[in-house]
Amino acid sequence: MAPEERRAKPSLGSYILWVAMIVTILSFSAFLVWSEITSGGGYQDSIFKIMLGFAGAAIAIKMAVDLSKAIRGRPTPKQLSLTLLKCSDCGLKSEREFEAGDFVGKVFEKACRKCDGPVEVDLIYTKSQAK
Amino acid sequence: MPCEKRRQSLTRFKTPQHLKSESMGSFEMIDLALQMDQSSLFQQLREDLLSWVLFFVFIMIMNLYGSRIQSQVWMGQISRALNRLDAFRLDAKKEFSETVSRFGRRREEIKGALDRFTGFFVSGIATLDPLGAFQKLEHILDLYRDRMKSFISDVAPEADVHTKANLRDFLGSVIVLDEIFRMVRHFFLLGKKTQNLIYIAQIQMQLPEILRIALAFRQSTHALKNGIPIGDGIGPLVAIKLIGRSPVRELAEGVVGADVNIEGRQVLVVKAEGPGGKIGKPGEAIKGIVESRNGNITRIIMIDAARKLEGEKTGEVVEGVGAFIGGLGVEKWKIEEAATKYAIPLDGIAIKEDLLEAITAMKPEIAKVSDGVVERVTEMISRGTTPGDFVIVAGVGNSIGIGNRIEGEEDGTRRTAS
Repeated sequence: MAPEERRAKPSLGSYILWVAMIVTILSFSAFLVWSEITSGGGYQDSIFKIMLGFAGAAIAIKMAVDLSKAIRGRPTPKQLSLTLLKCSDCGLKSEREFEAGDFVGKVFEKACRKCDGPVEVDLIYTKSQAK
Repeated sequence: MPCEKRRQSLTRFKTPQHLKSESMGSFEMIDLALQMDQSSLFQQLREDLLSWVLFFVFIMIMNLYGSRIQSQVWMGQISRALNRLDAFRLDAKKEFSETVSRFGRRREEIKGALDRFTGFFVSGIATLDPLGAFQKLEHILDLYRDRMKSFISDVAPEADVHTKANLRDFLGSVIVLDEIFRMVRHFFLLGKKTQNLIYIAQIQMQLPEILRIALAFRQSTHALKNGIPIGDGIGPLVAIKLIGRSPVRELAEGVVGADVNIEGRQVLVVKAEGPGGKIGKPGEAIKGIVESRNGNITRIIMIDAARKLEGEKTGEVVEGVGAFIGGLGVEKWKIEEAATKYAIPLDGIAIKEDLLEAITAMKPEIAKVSDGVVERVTEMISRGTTPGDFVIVAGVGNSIGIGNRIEGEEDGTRRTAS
Protein backbone atom coordinates (compact mmCIF):
# COMPACT_ATOMS: atom_id res chain seq x y z
CA MET A 1 0.00 0.00 0.00
CA ALA A 2 1.07 3.58 -0.58
CA PRO A 3 2.53 5.53 2.33
CA GLU A 4 -0.02 7.38 4.41
CA GLU A 5 0.60 11.08 4.55
CA ARG A 6 1.17 12.21 8.10
CA ARG A 7 -1.13 15.03 9.10
CA ALA A 8 0.65 18.33 9.36
CA LYS A 9 -1.54 20.07 11.90
CA PRO A 10 -1.45 23.81 12.61
CA SER A 11 -0.34 24.99 16.07
CA LEU A 12 -2.79 25.52 18.96
CA GLY A 13 -2.36 29.31 18.77
CA SER A 14 -3.26 29.22 15.10
CA TYR A 15 -6.41 27.17 15.91
CA ILE A 16 -7.51 29.69 18.52
CA LEU A 17 -6.88 32.63 16.21
CA TRP A 18 -8.87 31.10 13.38
CA VAL A 19 -11.75 30.01 15.62
CA ALA A 20 -11.88 33.51 17.16
CA MET A 21 -11.99 35.09 13.72
CA ILE A 22 -14.74 32.75 12.54
CA VAL A 23 -16.84 33.36 15.66
CA THR A 24 -16.37 37.15 15.40
CA ILE A 25 -17.34 37.33 11.74
CA LEU A 26 -20.27 34.98 12.24
CA SER A 27 -21.58 36.91 15.29
CA PHE A 28 -21.26 40.26 13.55
CA SER A 29 -23.02 38.92 10.46
CA ALA A 30 -25.82 37.43 12.53
CA PHE A 31 -26.20 40.69 14.44
CA LEU A 32 -26.40 42.69 11.21
CA VAL A 33 -29.09 40.47 9.74
CA TRP A 34 -31.08 40.20 12.96
CA SER A 35 -31.00 43.94 13.74
CA GLU A 36 -32.08 44.91 10.24
CA ILE A 37 -34.92 42.39 10.17
CA THR A 38 -36.30 43.39 13.58
CA SER A 39 -35.91 47.17 13.27
CA GLY A 40 -37.42 48.86 10.26
CA GLY A 41 -34.77 51.15 8.74
CA GLY A 42 -34.64 52.61 5.26
CA TYR A 43 -35.38 49.97 2.63
CA GLN A 44 -32.14 50.26 0.65
CA ASP A 45 -29.99 50.51 3.76
CA SER A 46 -31.57 47.37 5.24
CA ILE A 47 -31.12 45.35 2.06
CA PHE A 48 -27.44 46.37 1.94
CA LYS A 49 -26.83 45.41 5.55
CA ILE A 50 -28.66 42.08 5.22
CA MET A 51 -26.62 41.24 2.13
CA LEU A 52 -23.46 42.22 3.99
CA GLY A 53 -24.51 39.95 6.85
CA PHE A 54 -25.06 36.98 4.56
CA ALA A 55 -21.75 37.60 2.78
CA GLY A 56 -19.97 37.67 6.15
CA ALA A 57 -21.68 34.42 7.16
CA ALA A 58 -20.58 32.82 3.88
CA ILE A 59 -16.98 33.89 4.46
CA ALA A 60 -17.09 32.52 8.02
CA ILE A 61 -18.49 29.18 6.81
CA LYS A 62 -15.78 28.93 4.13
CA MET A 63 -13.11 29.64 6.76
CA ALA A 64 -14.61 26.98 9.06
CA VAL A 65 -14.60 24.40 6.24
CA ASP A 66 -10.95 25.23 5.39
CA LEU A 67 -9.99 24.96 9.05
CA SER A 68 -11.69 21.58 9.43
CA LYS A 69 -9.85 20.39 6.29
CA ALA A 70 -6.55 21.56 7.79
CA ILE A 71 -7.34 19.70 11.02
CA ARG A 72 -8.31 16.48 9.24
CA GLY A 73 -5.32 16.61 6.87
CA ARG A 74 -5.36 15.74 3.19
CA PRO A 75 -6.57 12.26 2.33
CA THR A 76 -4.02 10.19 0.44
CA PRO A 77 -5.59 8.05 -2.25
CA LYS A 78 -5.16 4.36 -1.52
CA GLN A 79 -2.99 2.63 -4.11
CA LEU A 80 -3.38 -0.93 -5.23
CA SER A 81 -0.61 -2.50 -7.30
CA LEU A 82 -1.68 -5.30 -9.62
CA THR A 83 0.21 -7.88 -11.65
CA LEU A 84 -1.20 -8.87 -15.02
CA LEU A 85 -0.28 -12.46 -15.87
CA LYS A 86 -0.40 -13.96 -19.35
CA CYS A 87 -0.09 -17.60 -20.28
CA SER A 88 2.72 -18.05 -22.80
CA ASP A 89 0.87 -21.00 -24.43
CA CYS A 90 -2.84 -20.22 -24.48
CA GLY A 91 -2.67 -16.42 -23.90
CA LEU A 92 -5.10 -16.49 -20.97
CA LYS A 93 -4.79 -13.28 -18.99
CA SER A 94 -5.45 -12.91 -15.29
CA GLU A 95 -4.91 -10.15 -12.75
CA ARG A 96 -3.82 -10.48 -9.14
CA GLU A 97 -2.44 -8.24 -6.41
CA PHE A 98 1.29 -7.46 -6.73
CA GLU A 99 3.55 -9.68 -4.65
CA ALA A 100 7.12 -8.92 -3.59
CA GLY A 101 9.52 -10.32 -6.18
CA ASP A 102 7.21 -9.82 -9.17
CA PHE A 103 8.75 -8.14 -12.21
CA VAL A 104 7.81 -7.85 -15.85
CA GLY A 105 9.28 -10.83 -17.70
CA LYS A 106 9.22 -13.19 -14.72
CA VAL A 107 7.82 -16.61 -15.58
CA PHE A 108 5.95 -19.01 -13.30
CA GLU A 109 6.16 -22.55 -14.64
CA LYS A 110 2.97 -24.63 -14.92
CA ALA A 111 0.83 -21.88 -13.46
CA CYS A 112 -1.89 -21.49 -16.09
CA ARG A 113 -5.31 -22.48 -14.78
CA LYS A 114 -6.49 -23.40 -18.24
CA CYS A 115 -3.61 -25.29 -19.88
CA ASP A 116 -1.05 -25.70 -17.09
CA GLY A 117 1.45 -23.82 -19.23
CA PRO A 118 4.03 -21.23 -18.13
CA VAL A 119 2.64 -17.87 -17.07
CA GLU A 120 4.65 -14.67 -17.55
CA VAL A 121 4.25 -11.32 -15.83
CA ASP A 122 3.01 -9.15 -18.69
CA LEU A 123 2.42 -5.86 -16.86
CA ILE A 124 2.53 -4.39 -13.39
CA TYR A 125 0.47 -1.27 -12.72
CA THR A 126 -1.00 0.61 -9.83
CA LYS A 127 -4.52 1.88 -9.47
CA SER A 128 -5.48 4.76 -7.21
CA GLN A 129 -8.62 4.35 -5.19
CA ALA A 130 -10.20 7.41 -3.63
CA LYS A 131 -10.92 6.92 0.08
CA MET B 1 -71.78 65.63 17.51
CA PRO B 2 -69.42 62.88 16.44
CA CYS B 3 -67.56 65.41 14.25
CA GLU B 4 -67.04 67.69 17.19
CA LYS B 5 -65.65 64.83 19.28
CA ARG B 6 -63.26 63.83 16.54
CA ARG B 7 -61.97 67.44 16.18
CA GLN B 8 -61.39 67.64 19.96
CA SER B 9 -59.54 64.34 20.03
CA LEU B 10 -57.25 65.47 17.22
CA THR B 11 -56.56 68.76 18.95
CA ARG B 12 -55.64 66.86 22.11
CA PHE B 13 -52.74 65.16 20.35
CA LYS B 14 -51.41 68.29 18.66
CA THR B 15 -48.14 69.73 20.05
CA PRO B 16 -47.85 73.42 20.95
CA GLN B 17 -45.79 73.81 17.78
CA HIS B 18 -48.64 72.47 15.68
CA LEU B 19 -51.09 74.72 17.38
CA LYS B 20 -48.75 77.64 16.87
CA SER B 21 -48.26 76.86 13.24
CA GLU B 22 -51.93 76.87 12.66
CA SER B 23 -51.93 80.52 13.57
CA MET B 24 -48.91 81.34 11.38
CA GLY B 25 -48.62 82.25 7.79
CA SER B 26 -47.13 79.99 5.09
CA PHE B 27 -43.72 81.81 5.14
CA GLU B 28 -43.15 80.98 8.78
CA MET B 29 -44.15 77.40 8.15
CA ILE B 30 -41.42 77.00 5.47
CA ASP B 31 -38.82 78.46 7.86
CA LEU B 32 -39.86 76.00 10.54
CA ALA B 33 -39.68 73.09 8.16
CA LEU B 34 -36.11 74.08 7.21
CA GLN B 35 -35.12 74.23 10.89
CA MET B 36 -36.59 70.76 11.46
CA ASP B 37 -34.68 69.38 8.41
CA GLN B 38 -31.42 70.80 9.76
CA SER B 39 -31.98 69.28 13.19
CA SER B 40 -32.74 65.86 11.70
CA LEU B 41 -29.64 66.17 9.47
CA PHE B 42 -27.43 66.87 12.50
CA GLN B 43 -29.03 63.96 14.30
CA GLN B 44 -28.32 61.68 11.33
CA LEU B 45 -24.73 62.94 11.16
CA ARG B 46 -24.27 62.16 14.84
CA GLU B 47 -25.56 58.62 14.24
CA ASP B 48 -23.28 58.11 11.24
CA LEU B 49 -20.22 59.55 12.96
CA LEU B 50 -19.29 56.17 14.40
CA SER B 51 -19.55 54.57 10.96
CA TRP B 52 -17.32 57.29 9.49
CA VAL B 53 -14.74 56.91 12.23
CA LEU B 54 -14.72 53.13 11.77
CA PHE B 55 -14.38 53.58 8.02
CA PHE B 56 -11.41 55.93 8.33
CA VAL B 57 -9.74 53.73 10.94
CA PHE B 58 -10.12 50.79 8.56
CA ILE B 59 -8.60 52.78 5.67
CA MET B 60 -5.72 53.91 7.87
CA ILE B 61 -5.01 50.37 9.07
CA MET B 62 -5.13 49.00 5.55
CA ASN B 63 -2.82 51.75 4.29
CA LEU B 64 -0.28 51.41 7.03
CA TYR B 65 -0.43 47.70 7.82
CA GLY B 66 -2.01 46.14 4.69
CA SER B 67 1.23 44.68 3.38
CA ARG B 68 2.14 43.39 6.84
CA ILE B 69 -1.24 41.67 7.19
CA GLN B 70 -0.78 40.21 3.69
CA SER B 71 2.70 38.95 4.57
CA GLN B 72 1.36 37.37 7.79
CA VAL B 73 -1.34 35.54 5.81
CA TRP B 74 1.31 34.28 3.36
CA MET B 75 3.65 33.31 6.19
CA GLY B 76 0.80 31.25 7.64
CA GLN B 77 0.38 29.46 4.32
CA ILE B 78 4.13 28.82 4.02
CA SER B 79 4.23 27.60 7.61
CA ARG B 80 1.49 25.03 6.94
CA ALA B 81 3.25 23.91 3.75
CA LEU B 82 6.50 23.64 5.68
CA ASN B 83 4.82 21.39 8.25
CA ARG B 84 3.64 19.19 5.42
CA LEU B 85 7.09 19.09 3.78
CA ASP B 86 8.65 18.25 7.13
CA ALA B 87 6.20 15.37 7.56
CA PHE B 88 7.07 14.16 4.03
CA ARG B 89 10.81 14.05 4.64
CA LEU B 90 10.62 12.59 8.14
CA ASP B 91 8.19 9.88 7.06
CA ALA B 92 10.34 9.06 4.03
CA LYS B 93 13.45 8.83 6.23
CA LYS B 94 11.63 6.58 8.70
CA GLU B 95 10.36 4.38 5.90
CA PHE B 96 13.86 4.17 4.42
CA SER B 97 15.38 3.12 7.75
CA GLU B 98 12.66 0.49 8.23
CA THR B 99 13.12 -0.91 4.72
CA VAL B 100 16.92 -0.98 4.84
CA SER B 101 17.01 -2.53 8.32
CA ARG B 102 15.92 -5.83 6.71
CA PHE B 103 19.34 -6.13 5.06
CA GLY B 104 21.84 -6.60 7.84
CA ARG B 105 22.13 -3.38 9.84
CA ARG B 106 20.28 -2.09 12.90
CA ARG B 107 17.75 0.69 12.43
CA GLU B 108 19.60 3.11 14.74
CA GLU B 109 22.81 2.68 12.74
CA ILE B 110 20.97 3.31 9.50
CA LYS B 111 19.21 6.33 10.94
CA GLY B 112 22.50 7.85 12.06
CA ALA B 113 24.15 7.20 8.71
CA LEU B 114 21.14 8.61 6.86
CA ASP B 115 21.09 11.79 8.97
CA ARG B 116 24.72 12.36 8.03
CA PHE B 117 24.10 11.63 4.36
CA THR B 118 20.86 13.54 3.63
CA GLY B 119 22.61 16.87 3.22
CA PHE B 120 24.66 15.32 0.40
CA PHE B 121 24.61 17.40 -2.75
CA VAL B 122 26.27 17.77 -6.10
CA SER B 123 28.14 20.98 -6.78
CA GLY B 124 27.43 22.17 -10.29
CA ILE B 125 30.25 22.38 -12.80
CA ALA B 126 31.87 25.62 -13.99
CA THR B 127 30.48 26.47 -17.44
CA LEU B 128 32.19 29.81 -17.99
CA ASP B 129 34.54 27.82 -20.18
CA PRO B 130 32.08 25.44 -21.89
CA LEU B 131 34.81 23.28 -23.44
CA GLY B 132 34.52 19.79 -22.00
CA ALA B 133 31.47 20.67 -19.89
CA PHE B 134 29.74 17.36 -20.67
CA GLN B 135 32.81 15.32 -19.75
CA LYS B 136 33.07 17.21 -16.47
CA LEU B 137 29.34 16.75 -15.80
CA GLU B 138 29.55 13.04 -16.54
CA HIS B 139 32.50 12.70 -14.21
CA ILE B 140 30.64 14.46 -11.41
CA LEU B 141 27.53 12.34 -11.99
CA ASP B 142 29.63 9.16 -11.91
CA LEU B 143 31.08 10.27 -8.59
CA TYR B 144 27.57 10.97 -7.26
CA ARG B 145 26.39 7.52 -8.35
CA ASP B 146 29.44 5.87 -6.79
CA ARG B 147 28.85 7.61 -3.47
CA MET B 148 25.21 6.51 -3.48
CA LYS B 149 26.25 2.94 -4.29
CA SER B 150 28.83 2.90 -1.55
CA PHE B 151 26.34 4.29 1.00
CA ILE B 152 23.75 1.64 0.14
CA SER B 153 26.35 -1.14 0.23
CA ASP B 154 27.35 0.11 3.66
CA VAL B 155 23.83 0.26 5.16
CA ALA B 156 22.36 -2.75 3.35
CA PRO B 157 25.23 -5.23 2.99
CA GLU B 158 22.95 -8.25 2.61
CA ALA B 159 20.73 -6.83 -0.14
CA ASP B 160 21.02 -8.31 -3.63
CA VAL B 161 22.16 -6.19 -6.57
CA HIS B 162 18.63 -5.32 -7.76
CA THR B 163 17.39 -4.39 -4.30
CA LYS B 164 20.46 -2.20 -3.87
CA ALA B 165 19.58 -0.42 -7.10
CA ASN B 166 16.00 0.14 -5.84
CA LEU B 167 17.29 1.42 -2.51
CA ARG B 168 19.57 3.89 -4.32
CA ASP B 169 16.53 5.37 -6.04
CA PHE B 170 14.69 5.40 -2.71
CA LEU B 171 17.62 7.26 -1.14
CA GLY B 172 17.52 9.73 -4.04
CA SER B 173 13.88 10.54 -3.21
CA VAL B 174 14.70 11.00 0.48
CA ILE B 175 17.51 13.43 -0.41
CA VAL B 176 15.25 15.42 -2.76
CA LEU B 177 12.51 15.70 -0.10
CA ASP B 178 15.07 16.90 2.43
CA GLU B 179 16.44 19.43 -0.03
CA ILE B 180 12.97 20.82 -0.83
CA PHE B 181 12.23 21.20 2.88
CA ARG B 182 15.53 23.01 3.51
CA MET B 183 14.92 25.40 0.61
CA VAL B 184 11.38 26.36 1.69
CA ARG B 185 12.51 26.70 5.32
CA HIS B 186 15.33 28.99 4.19
CA PHE B 187 12.94 31.44 2.49
CA PHE B 188 10.41 31.17 5.31
CA LEU B 189 12.97 32.09 7.96
CA LEU B 190 14.54 34.76 5.78
CA GLY B 191 11.10 36.31 5.24
CA LYS B 192 10.33 36.12 8.95
CA LYS B 193 13.65 37.69 9.87
CA THR B 194 13.57 40.53 7.36
CA GLN B 195 9.78 40.91 7.00
CA ASN B 196 10.60 41.43 3.32
CA LEU B 197 7.50 40.85 1.23
CA ILE B 198 9.57 39.80 -1.81
CA TYR B 199 11.18 36.83 -0.01
CA ILE B 200 7.80 35.72 1.29
CA ALA B 201 5.93 36.32 -1.97
CA GLN B 202 8.32 34.40 -4.19
CA ILE B 203 8.07 31.24 -2.11
CA GLN B 204 4.31 31.60 -1.49
CA MET B 205 3.60 31.88 -5.20
CA GLN B 206 5.62 28.77 -5.96
CA LEU B 207 4.09 26.72 -3.14
CA PRO B 208 1.55 24.75 -5.23
CA GLU B 209 4.28 23.58 -7.64
CA ILE B 210 6.73 22.85 -4.81
CA LEU B 211 4.12 20.78 -2.97
CA ARG B 212 3.21 18.94 -6.16
CA ILE B 213 6.84 17.96 -6.74
CA ALA B 214 7.32 16.99 -3.08
CA LEU B 215 4.16 14.88 -3.12
CA ALA B 216 5.42 13.11 -6.27
CA PHE B 217 8.71 12.21 -4.56
CA ARG B 218 6.92 11.16 -1.38
CA GLN B 219 4.58 8.85 -3.28
CA SER B 220 7.47 7.46 -5.34
CA THR B 221 8.86 5.68 -2.28
CA HIS B 222 6.00 3.17 -2.39
CA ALA B 223 7.13 1.92 -5.81
CA LEU B 224 10.86 2.23 -5.17
CA LYS B 225 10.94 0.17 -1.99
CA ASN B 226 8.76 -2.59 -3.44
CA GLY B 227 10.35 -2.78 -6.90
CA ILE B 228 7.16 -1.76 -8.71
CA PRO B 229 7.58 -0.27 -12.22
CA ILE B 230 7.26 3.51 -12.34
CA GLY B 231 5.80 5.67 -15.13
CA ASP B 232 9.26 6.48 -16.46
CA GLY B 233 9.72 2.75 -17.11
CA ILE B 234 7.50 2.74 -20.18
CA GLY B 235 10.58 2.78 -22.48
CA PRO B 236 12.13 -0.38 -20.94
CA LEU B 237 8.65 -1.97 -20.84
CA VAL B 238 8.29 -1.56 -24.60
CA ALA B 239 11.87 -2.78 -25.03
CA ILE B 240 11.26 -6.03 -23.12
CA LYS B 241 8.18 -6.66 -25.21
CA LEU B 242 10.32 -6.30 -28.33
CA ILE B 243 13.12 -8.46 -26.89
CA GLY B 244 10.81 -11.30 -25.82
CA ARG B 245 12.90 -14.37 -25.02
CA SER B 246 15.94 -13.31 -27.07
CA PRO B 247 19.25 -13.47 -25.18
CA VAL B 248 20.64 -10.18 -23.90
CA ARG B 249 24.19 -8.94 -23.51
CA GLU B 250 25.69 -6.00 -21.64
CA LEU B 251 26.38 -2.99 -23.88
CA ALA B 252 27.48 -0.34 -21.40
CA GLU B 253 27.24 0.42 -17.69
CA GLY B 254 23.73 -0.58 -16.62
CA VAL B 255 22.55 -1.10 -20.20
CA VAL B 256 21.72 -4.37 -21.95
CA GLY B 257 20.70 -5.15 -25.51
CA ALA B 258 19.32 -7.98 -27.59
CA ASP B 259 19.35 -8.69 -31.32
CA VAL B 260 15.90 -9.36 -32.71
CA ASN B 261 14.57 -9.73 -36.18
CA ILE B 262 11.67 -7.49 -37.06
CA GLU B 263 10.20 -7.67 -40.55
CA GLY B 264 13.56 -8.90 -41.93
CA ARG B 265 15.55 -6.06 -40.34
CA GLN B 266 18.30 -6.67 -37.82
CA VAL B 267 17.21 -4.72 -34.77
CA LEU B 268 19.29 -4.15 -31.67
CA VAL B 269 16.93 -3.40 -28.80
CA VAL B 270 18.57 -1.46 -25.98
CA LYS B 271 17.25 -1.01 -22.45
CA ALA B 272 18.42 -0.28 -18.91
CA GLU B 273 19.41 -3.35 -16.94
CA GLY B 274 16.57 -4.64 -14.77
CA PRO B 275 14.67 -5.49 -12.72
CA GLY B 276 16.51 -3.18 -10.32
CA GLY B 277 16.04 0.59 -10.52
CA LYS B 278 18.62 1.58 -13.12
CA ILE B 279 18.77 4.04 -15.99
CA GLY B 280 22.29 3.18 -17.06
CA LYS B 281 24.17 4.95 -19.81
CA PRO B 282 22.12 4.41 -22.97
CA GLY B 283 24.03 7.19 -24.73
CA GLU B 284 27.30 5.38 -24.10
CA ALA B 285 25.78 2.13 -25.41
CA ILE B 286 24.38 3.70 -28.60
CA LYS B 287 27.58 5.61 -29.26
CA GLY B 288 29.58 2.39 -28.82
CA ILE B 289 27.37 0.48 -31.29
CA VAL B 290 27.47 3.28 -33.85
CA GLU B 291 31.26 3.51 -33.65
CA SER B 292 31.73 -0.26 -33.75
CA ARG B 293 29.72 -0.42 -37.00
CA ASN B 294 31.38 2.72 -38.46
CA GLY B 295 28.01 4.39 -38.63
CA ASN B 296 26.45 1.62 -40.68
CA ILE B 297 23.08 2.03 -39.02
CA THR B 298 19.95 2.90 -40.95
CA ARG B 299 17.92 4.39 -38.13
CA ILE B 300 17.85 4.98 -34.39
CA ILE B 301 14.43 4.89 -32.74
CA MET B 302 14.09 6.02 -29.15
CA ILE B 303 11.13 5.44 -26.84
CA ASP B 304 10.76 7.49 -23.69
CA ALA B 305 8.25 9.07 -21.36
CA ALA B 306 7.76 12.78 -22.06
CA ARG B 307 6.38 15.53 -19.86
CA LYS B 308 2.74 16.11 -20.73
CA LEU B 309 1.19 19.54 -20.74
CA GLU B 310 -1.91 20.18 -18.65
CA GLY B 311 -4.93 19.11 -20.66
CA GLU B 312 -3.07 16.40 -22.55
CA LYS B 313 -4.12 12.81 -21.95
CA THR B 314 -1.91 10.54 -19.85
CA GLY B 315 -0.52 7.76 -22.03
CA GLU B 316 -0.92 9.68 -25.27
CA VAL B 317 1.60 8.36 -27.80
CA VAL B 318 3.28 10.86 -30.11
CA GLU B 319 6.08 10.59 -32.63
CA GLY B 320 8.92 12.99 -33.36
CA VAL B 321 12.54 13.36 -34.34
CA GLY B 322 15.61 13.84 -32.15
CA ALA B 323 17.17 12.08 -29.21
CA PHE B 324 14.25 11.24 -26.92
CA ILE B 325 16.00 11.07 -23.59
CA GLY B 326 15.81 13.16 -20.42
CA GLY B 327 18.31 13.68 -17.65
CA LEU B 328 20.96 16.36 -17.45
CA GLY B 329 21.97 16.02 -21.09
CA VAL B 330 25.13 13.90 -21.02
CA GLU B 331 23.55 10.83 -22.65
CA LYS B 332 21.54 12.96 -25.06
CA TRP B 333 24.73 14.71 -26.14
CA LYS B 334 26.49 11.39 -26.84
CA ILE B 335 23.62 10.12 -28.99
CA GLU B 336 23.35 13.38 -30.92
CA GLU B 337 27.12 13.45 -31.48
CA ALA B 338 27.17 9.90 -32.84
CA ALA B 339 24.06 10.33 -35.00
CA THR B 340 25.30 13.65 -36.40
CA LYS B 341 28.76 12.28 -37.18
CA TYR B 342 27.31 9.56 -39.44
CA ALA B 343 24.08 11.36 -40.43
CA ILE B 344 21.89 8.67 -38.92
CA PRO B 345 18.18 9.55 -38.70
CA LEU B 346 16.95 9.83 -35.11
CA ASP B 347 13.27 9.06 -34.57
CA GLY B 348 11.38 8.98 -31.33
CA ILE B 349 8.16 7.87 -29.73
CA ALA B 350 7.07 9.69 -26.59
CA ILE B 351 4.47 8.58 -24.08
CA LYS B 352 2.95 11.59 -22.34
CA GLU B 353 2.80 11.70 -18.55
CA ASP B 354 3.33 14.30 -15.85
CA LEU B 355 6.06 14.39 -13.19
CA LEU B 356 3.92 12.66 -10.58
CA GLU B 357 3.08 9.85 -12.98
CA ALA B 358 6.69 9.53 -14.18
CA ILE B 359 8.24 8.92 -10.76
CA THR B 360 5.40 7.07 -9.03
CA ALA B 361 4.03 3.56 -9.64
CA MET B 362 3.00 3.05 -13.26
CA LYS B 363 -0.66 3.73 -13.96
CA PRO B 364 -2.73 1.27 -16.01
CA GLU B 365 -3.32 3.85 -18.75
CA ILE B 366 0.47 4.09 -19.23
CA ALA B 367 1.24 0.37 -18.93
CA LYS B 368 -1.49 -0.62 -21.36
CA VAL B 369 -0.21 1.54 -24.22
CA SER B 370 2.98 -0.58 -24.36
CA ASP B 371 1.49 -3.09 -26.84
CA GLY B 372 0.35 -0.23 -29.06
CA VAL B 373 3.84 1.33 -28.95
CA VAL B 374 5.38 -2.01 -29.96
CA GLU B 375 3.11 -1.99 -33.01
CA ARG B 376 4.10 1.58 -33.83
CA VAL B 377 7.79 0.75 -33.59
CA THR B 378 7.27 -2.19 -35.94
CA GLU B 379 5.38 0.07 -38.31
CA MET B 380 8.12 2.73 -38.17
CA ILE B 381 10.78 0.12 -38.92
CA SER B 382 8.92 -1.38 -41.87
CA ARG B 383 8.05 2.08 -43.21
CA GLY B 384 11.48 3.70 -42.81
CA THR B 385 13.88 0.86 -43.58
CA THR B 386 14.33 -2.02 -45.98
CA PRO B 387 14.94 -5.70 -45.17
CA GLY B 388 18.54 -6.33 -44.16
CA ASP B 389 19.00 -2.88 -42.59
CA PHE B 390 20.40 -2.45 -39.10
CA VAL B 391 18.23 -0.48 -36.67
CA ILE B 392 18.73 0.51 -33.04
CA VAL B 393 15.64 0.73 -30.84
CA ALA B 394 16.28 2.18 -27.38
CA GLY B 395 13.70 1.97 -24.62
CA VAL B 396 14.89 4.77 -22.35
CA GLY B 397 13.93 5.09 -18.70
CA ASN B 398 14.12 3.53 -15.26
CA SER B 399 13.97 -0.25 -15.42
CA ILE B 400 12.64 -0.85 -11.89
CA GLY B 401 10.35 -3.87 -11.83
CA ILE B 402 11.11 -4.69 -15.46
CA GLY B 403 13.38 -7.60 -16.34
CA ASN B 404 15.85 -7.75 -19.22
CA ARG B 405 13.95 -10.41 -21.17
CA ILE B 406 11.07 -12.80 -20.70
CA GLU B 407 12.49 -15.68 -18.71
CA GLY B 408 12.77 -19.14 -20.21
CA GLU B 409 14.39 -20.67 -23.21
CA GLU B 410 14.59 -18.75 -26.45
CA ASP B 411 11.72 -19.97 -28.61
CA GLY B 412 12.77 -18.14 -31.75
CA THR B 413 9.18 -17.34 -32.62
CA ARG B 414 8.91 -13.83 -31.32
CA ARG B 415 9.11 -11.05 -33.86
CA THR B 416 11.18 -13.02 -36.34
CA ALA B 417 11.31 -12.30 -40.07
CA SER B 418 8.01 -12.48 -41.79
